[in-house]
Amino acid sequence: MEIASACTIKPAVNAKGLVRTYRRGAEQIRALKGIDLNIQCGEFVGVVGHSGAGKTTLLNLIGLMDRATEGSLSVLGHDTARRGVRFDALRRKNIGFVFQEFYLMPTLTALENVLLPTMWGKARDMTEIGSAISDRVPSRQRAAELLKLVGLGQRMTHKPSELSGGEMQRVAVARALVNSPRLLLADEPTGNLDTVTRDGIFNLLLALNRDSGLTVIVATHDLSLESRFTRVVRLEDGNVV
Amino acid sequence: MGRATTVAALALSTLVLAGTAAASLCVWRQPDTDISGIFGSGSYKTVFADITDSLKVKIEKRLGIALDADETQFKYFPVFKGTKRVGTVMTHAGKGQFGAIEVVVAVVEGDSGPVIKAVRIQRDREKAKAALRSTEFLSQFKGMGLTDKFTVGEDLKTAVAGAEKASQAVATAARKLLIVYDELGRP
Amino acid sequence: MSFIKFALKNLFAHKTRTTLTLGSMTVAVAVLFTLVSFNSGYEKALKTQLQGMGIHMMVVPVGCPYEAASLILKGGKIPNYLPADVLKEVQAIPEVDVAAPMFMSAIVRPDEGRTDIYVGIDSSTIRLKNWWKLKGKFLTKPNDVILGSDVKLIELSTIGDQIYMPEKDVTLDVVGELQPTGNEDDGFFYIPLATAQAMFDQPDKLTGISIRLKNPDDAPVVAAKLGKIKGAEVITMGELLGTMMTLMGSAKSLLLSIVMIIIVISALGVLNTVLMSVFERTKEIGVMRATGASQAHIFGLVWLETLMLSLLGGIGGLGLALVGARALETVVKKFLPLAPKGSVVALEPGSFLLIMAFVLGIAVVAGFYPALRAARAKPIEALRSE
Repeated sequence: MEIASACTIKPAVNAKGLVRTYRRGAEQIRALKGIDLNIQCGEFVGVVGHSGAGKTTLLNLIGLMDRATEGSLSVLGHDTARRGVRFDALRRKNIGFVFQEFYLMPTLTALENVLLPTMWGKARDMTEIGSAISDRVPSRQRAAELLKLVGLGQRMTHKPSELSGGEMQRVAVARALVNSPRLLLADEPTGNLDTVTRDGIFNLLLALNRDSGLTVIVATHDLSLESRFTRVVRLEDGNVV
Repeated sequence: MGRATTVAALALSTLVLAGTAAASLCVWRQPDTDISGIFGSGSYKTVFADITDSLKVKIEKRLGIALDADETQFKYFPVFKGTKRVGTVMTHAGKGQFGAIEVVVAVVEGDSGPVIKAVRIQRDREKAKAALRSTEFLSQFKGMGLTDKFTVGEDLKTAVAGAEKASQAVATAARKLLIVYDELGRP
Repeated sequence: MSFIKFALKNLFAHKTRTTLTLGSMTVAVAVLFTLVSFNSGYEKALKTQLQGMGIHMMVVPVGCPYEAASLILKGGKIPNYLPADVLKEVQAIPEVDVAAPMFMSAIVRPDEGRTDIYVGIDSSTIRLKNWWKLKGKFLTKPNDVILGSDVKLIELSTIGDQIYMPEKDVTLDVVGELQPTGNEDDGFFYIPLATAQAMFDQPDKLTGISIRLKNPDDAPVVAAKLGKIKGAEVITMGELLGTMMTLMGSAKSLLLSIVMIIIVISALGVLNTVLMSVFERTKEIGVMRATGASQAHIFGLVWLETLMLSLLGGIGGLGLALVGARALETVVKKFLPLAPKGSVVALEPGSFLLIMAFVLGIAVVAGFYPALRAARAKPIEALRSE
C-alpha cells in the first residue's frame, strides 16, 4: 500500500515574508510577522515555540485553511496568492491534518471516520456533490489497512467514545492518510496525551516519514521532542528565530 | 330573490333538516320552569349513571318489567338551594296511547326511603292532554314511595275516563325512576 | 459510507429532538393529506348520495326554499305554494319518468322542544324513492301515517299504534315504518297528500314536485320546459351539488389554511433543528473542511439533512394518513358543515405527490439558511470555536 503520494516539487513549502494579522474587536493582532521558510520533500520538521508564538497560524496557512495577509506562500508548487487556486481540492488530495483535539465524528465508527475524507471525492477536482464515492471497496480496504497500520485493526467498528485518547489520535492519523497526501500537518498532536502514549504517536509519525517518505510538519510546544526532528523551526512571537 | 340564493337555501334547508332528525330521546327540556314550579328555586347538576348488567337484573326484578333497550344509562339531576341538596330530578320517555310521553319526576328523601315530590309532563300528544297535566291527576303522586303499587284503578285514579293507558304510562315512569333512584344508592 | 447515510447519522445523533420534529411534520402532513383527500372523496360521496336519490330535479314555488328553510325552523307556514295543476303540466312532459308531488308543513311546539314535520305524498313518491325500505304498508286510508325511522324512535310508536295531533285534532293510524335512510327523510311523518292539504287548509296546493327523468341527460331540455311554468322554479340536482360544494368550500379553505400554517410551523421546526445541529457541529464542520470538504459539500450535506427530515416526515405523514385516515376523518368531519355518510376520504397518489412537492418545496427553503450558515463558516474559525 502506498501511504503517501510522491513529493517531487522543490521545495515542498516555500514562504517569503509571510504575514498574518487578525482583528479581535478593535485590536489588531499580528500572529505572523514576516516568515521566510523552506521545507523540502521528505523532511520531518518540528515547528516549536510557546503557545501564541504563531505555530497554528503557520500550519493553517501551509494547510490551505487560511490565506496570508501579506507575503508569498507556495505549497507543493501552487502559489496560494494566485486567483483561481482551489484550496479545498488541493487540500483534499495533498494534505492530511492531525489536531490536538483529534476532532473525530462522534456518530461514526473508527473506520467511518477514516473514510470521511473520501466522501468529498478523492479523485482530482471532483468537488460537486453526488460525486462522493460511497463505500468504494478500494477506499474501504485502504481505510482498514491504515487502521491496521496505526495498530487499531481490532477497533474498527468502535465509536470514538469507546476509544482511548491515543487510539483516537491514531484514528485521526489514519484519517489524514486516507487520501494519500503529500504533506502531513500535525498541530500539537500529542498535547492531550500522556508521555507513553505521546511517544507512541510521535514514533508513528516518525515511521511514516522514514518508511514512506511522507513530508511531516509537527507544531509542538514540547521542547523534549526537538531532538527527534530532522529540522526544527523555532517560532517566537510571530518570527522565526 | 336571486336564483343562486334559492338553490343555496334549498341546499341549506336539506342540511338543516338532516340535522333536526337526530334526536336525543329524553332530555330535561325546561329545568328552570320545573325547578321553580317544584322547589320554588334552586340550581342543578347533571350526573350520568351507568346501569351495569347486575344492576339491570335487580331493577327489572323489582319493576316486574324489562328496561328499554336504550336504558343502559340514566341521567339524574341533583337539585340544590345554595349548597343544600333539596332533591333529585329524573326524566323518562315512555310510550303513551298516541305517541311518547315524557315525564319529569322529582324525588326527595322521606322518613322511610325516597318519596315522590312531584310529577310533571314535559311532552305528550295525548287526547287527554289537559287532564293528564291537571293538578288533580298529578298531585296524586306526591308522597308515593317504594311500597306503593302505582297502578291506575288501584292506588291511582285515571286522569280522565278513557285515558287509562296514558295515565298508567305516567305512573309506570314515576315508579321506574323511583326504583332506579333507589338502586343507584339514592345518590 | 454514503452522503445520505452520513446525513442520517447526523440527524439521529439527537434522537429526541429529531423525533419530535419528525413527529410534528408527520402529523401536519397527515392532516393535510387527509384534508386534500377529503375534497375529492367528499365530492364523490355527495354526488353518489344525491344521484343515488334518483331525483334529477325539483320544481318549487318561486322564492320558496329560502323561506321554507327559515320558516320551517321558526315554525311558520310556507307562504308560497305551487298550484296542483302544475303537476299535470310536469307529468305531460314526455321526458319525465316520475313526478312526485309533495306537500310539506310543520307544527312547532316550542314548550316541548319538538317540531313535527308532516309530508303529504302519494304513491308516486314510493316509485321515485325506490331505495326506501318500507315496513308495513303504504298509505291507503286518509288517516294513515308512515313514520320516518327517527320519528318512530322519538314517539316510541310502531305499526298498529295511533298518533294524535292535538293541534289539528286528528288521530292517525301507523301503517308503516321507514327503515333508516340516513337523510332528512328519517325525521318526517308521511301522510296522504290530500290529508296534508286539508289538514293545513291548502287544498290543491303543493310545496314541491320531485322529478326523475327517463334519461338524466335530458335535464337541460326539461329544465327549459319547466322554466316556462309561471310561479315555478326549477332546481337541478347538479346545481344543488354545486352549491353544497361551495358551502363546503369556505369551511374547507379555512381548515386548509390552518393546516398550511401548521406545515410552515413544522418547517420552522425543521429549520430550527437543523440550525441547532449546525451550531453544535461547528467544529465537525471545520474538520470536514480540513479534510477537504468544499463549501458546496457542507451546504449539500446540511441541505440534504433538511430534505431528508422533511421527506421522512412526509412519508410518515402518508403512513399515518393511511393508517389513521378513519380517525382523522372523524375529527375533520366535525369541522365541516355537512358530512355525507360513509367514507369521504379518498387517498389518492396524486394528492400525496402534490403534498410531498409542497413539503419538499418548504424544506428546500427552510434548509437553505442553515446550509448557508454551515457553508460560510471559515474552517479555522470553526475549529477554533469553543
